[in-house]
Amino acid sequence: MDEPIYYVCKYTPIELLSGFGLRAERLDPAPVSFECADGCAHPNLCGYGKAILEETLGRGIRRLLLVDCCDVCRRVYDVLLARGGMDFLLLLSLPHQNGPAERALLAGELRRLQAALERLTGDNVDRQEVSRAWRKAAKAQEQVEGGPYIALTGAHGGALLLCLLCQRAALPVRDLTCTGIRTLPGPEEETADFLTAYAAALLGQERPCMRMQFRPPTETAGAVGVVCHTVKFCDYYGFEYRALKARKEPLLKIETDCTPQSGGQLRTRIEAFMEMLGEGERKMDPKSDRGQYVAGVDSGSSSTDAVILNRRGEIVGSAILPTGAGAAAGAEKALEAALRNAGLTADQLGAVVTTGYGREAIGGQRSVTEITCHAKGAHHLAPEARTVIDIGGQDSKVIRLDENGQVINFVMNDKCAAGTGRFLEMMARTMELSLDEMSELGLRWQRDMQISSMCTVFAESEVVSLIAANTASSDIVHGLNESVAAKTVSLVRRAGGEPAYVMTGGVARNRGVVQAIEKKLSAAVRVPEEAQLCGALGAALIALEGI
Amino acid sequence: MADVVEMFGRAIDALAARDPDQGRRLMLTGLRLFGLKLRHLPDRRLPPSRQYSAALINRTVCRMLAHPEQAALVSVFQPCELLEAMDVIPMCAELFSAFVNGCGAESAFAQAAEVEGIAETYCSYHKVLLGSAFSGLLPAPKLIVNTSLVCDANNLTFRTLAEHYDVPRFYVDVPPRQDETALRYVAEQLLALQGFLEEQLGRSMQEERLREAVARSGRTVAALRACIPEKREHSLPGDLTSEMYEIYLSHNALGSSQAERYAAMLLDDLKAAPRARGIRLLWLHTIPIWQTPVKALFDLNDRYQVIACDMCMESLCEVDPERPYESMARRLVFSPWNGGQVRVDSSVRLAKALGADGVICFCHWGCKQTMGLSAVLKNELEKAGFPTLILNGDGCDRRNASDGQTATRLNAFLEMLEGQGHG
Repeated sequence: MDEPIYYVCKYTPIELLSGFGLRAERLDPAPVSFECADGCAHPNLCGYGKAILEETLGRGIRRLLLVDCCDVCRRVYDVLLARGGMDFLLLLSLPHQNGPAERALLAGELRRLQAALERLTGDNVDRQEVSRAWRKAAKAQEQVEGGPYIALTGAHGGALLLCLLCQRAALPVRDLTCTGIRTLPGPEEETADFLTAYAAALLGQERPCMRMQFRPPTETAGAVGVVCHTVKFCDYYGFEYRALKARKEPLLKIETDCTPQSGGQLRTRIEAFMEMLGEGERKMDPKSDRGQYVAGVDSGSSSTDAVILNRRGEIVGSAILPTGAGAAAGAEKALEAALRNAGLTADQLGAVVTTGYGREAIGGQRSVTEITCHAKGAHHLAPEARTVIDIGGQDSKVIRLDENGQVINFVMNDKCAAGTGRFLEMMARTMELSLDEMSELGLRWQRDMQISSMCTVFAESEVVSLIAANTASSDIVHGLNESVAAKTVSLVRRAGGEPAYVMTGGVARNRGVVQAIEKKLSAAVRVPEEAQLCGALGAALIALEGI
Repeated sequence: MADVVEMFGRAIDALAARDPDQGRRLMLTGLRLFGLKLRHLPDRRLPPSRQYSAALINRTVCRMLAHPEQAALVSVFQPCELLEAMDVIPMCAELFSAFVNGCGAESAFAQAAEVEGIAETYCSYHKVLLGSAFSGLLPAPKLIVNTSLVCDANNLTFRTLAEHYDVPRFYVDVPPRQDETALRYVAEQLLALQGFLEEQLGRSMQEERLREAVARSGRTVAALRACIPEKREHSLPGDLTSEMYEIYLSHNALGSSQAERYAAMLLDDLKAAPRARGIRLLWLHTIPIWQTPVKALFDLNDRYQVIACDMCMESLCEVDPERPYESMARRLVFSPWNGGQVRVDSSVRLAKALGADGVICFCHWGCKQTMGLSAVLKNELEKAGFPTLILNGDGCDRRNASDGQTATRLNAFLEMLEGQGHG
């Protein structure tokens, strides 16, 4: 059988391909790396565009029909054209408006495509077949079921994201992303100009993508929650996120690069969101109800923390150990240390709840995301808290709480070390300081220094230059603290943070950072004594509620 | 000087956060003071055309900020002869952001946009503009006019700002194809733009004034085109900032008598300049004029010179004053930036026409158009004999570039060219 013609965009006139007996197959790429795309294009293109390049070149695809959806799709075409070796490669120009002139323009493009397909197949178009395919597409339109649902909006998420979401959500998920549901109005019986009518149908889809200047805001009425997906270096869907933020539906923003690499981070966010929506409520296995104590274990990227509580919710033992090479082994050691600290044995534990990145790799009756656990722990330590700022090794997050300690919103940093504990660790290493020394130095600054670079590598290079210029270490550290604070406060604002503020996580021990955040927020930030244990404490409290 | 700029930037940022009007007034006062310096104590090392452009651009930005009610916010690629004919000030989005950067205040405004949800990876010129608007530094214009050429940001920023300010907007869609159908499609939209302007401004446009403006564009374009062979033969003492000013003068300012005067002066200066010498480079895309190591290498330096920026050549299309709408549409549709292969071909042609020793392809943060094509550009330019450096950076936001990395790449490239016997 002939190779199909691959396509990516929902505006692709795939029905026209049927008129030539050609098969259209949508690309849904999820490469593990961008080895090829980074070399022949540029690393700072959107992940989706790079994934299309990677898939096309990696699989040796030779027939591709592209639509000029965005800058990156245009450049994917240019790169493939320059490389040569394709049997069929065409970029269809798609107007940004939907008036008579635009429909005529697109009809002209469809004629150009038809001519190209005639050259490819040596055949003429079978108009009846195109009509049949068009009617079929119109009939197969999504049958929207009533009732609550989770809306997935934003940029292309593909099967990867959709599956992840469907697995975690108890409710149906509606794919409203740019490559989501394709709803073509059906053909009219008598059409004087077939291609103009077809162009009108393509442009008249029910859910136009963001590039269309006539696009109404995304319809999310009836959604229990909205997940807005953006792709790194995609221009469009940050603007949709901005519009969705103003609505009342609970909203989760996730950013990916269209590879499966950030699966763990993604899972945490989606699970936390479902927990926030009340979808994750489960009771503990009744068989586990055998002891007088419960434990919470937080397996983070830098440290693994464990907390043991008695039935009254009092901390009777705890431990903080480096995670080391394996999450499971690290958790086991931390739990053992906490039990030792409490003078207890594992048999006396009624339930263990795990959280953190390694939560599913380690044992325990139940795993809950660190968002829910930090909220629970922070509310326990400081009931007045309405905003929790948690900066850990690889994540910074801001969690909004209601008066009952329930999560009402949260945001996290994207796949980037800037503004995290790792950033400070790297800079401390560059400056040959311990983290404690860094914390102290950050309070003794004289000159208000700015480290302007957002990228960790650039910031390191800035620090090296400042060291070379004999800048006082305390001033450099202050600049770094300011940089972390700026990033954090930006997250606070995105989350709609309100006082009282509580800070948890390892970076909460750095007094310079806390001070810089307080200054930027013009508000006090409380750091509870057990700040670093907050996630494990929350997990233990959830364990306690479950028995 | 860098410290003064930094202090000024912080002061604008701090004031804008408390009182946007005061922040704008401080920026305007600073720019006016700098304008006085440019008029009375210009940099005599620069030729007259460049001294003129520095003072002119300063005046233009001050005018935009002082009289937003008479201005239309436009993208840099938007033809503005219709605005000129109707006495509307073109408020160039990218020029405004570049000036916020010049004041050292851009990072705070970029962050203000990010807080709203705009991607960190969005074009910094557009992000600074959005942040300035959201925080009140950029006053509401009378209206907004923009084209889809060259990048996606144009499809987003101006739509968002029209909603934010609640002002009318006109959009000119430019298909990425170069043929007569596209030309007619765009010309019809520009004709409709006239109707839009008349309705919004409540006055009629005089056809004669439009023809005059388009005729001035024609003369300006002819003079700027005549500069290309002169740039090949002569070395004009210059700086990178002047090249950036020329982008505005060869785009939104086309149709004005000032742009025509500038082009004529530039041609005269080039003819009178000494013979070409040193390493002479063609720069592709915008220039990070805020970066000290970049300026240190190329400003008023005989040994290394950026003799042209391709953005200044992007609009030099034939003009027929008797067909004003078609002429403006032609500039958009047949732009060498309207399509990947045409941009590659035009870059090679330009490098040949200028006799460049090498090419720097600047990948501005967030600009997928240039980044996506950079590998193809490098490949084709080097095939044609022009060593090419792909330089990543940011033309408008200090946070996305590293001075050290930029300096190393540029110096290594220049050493390589010298090693190959160029210059």
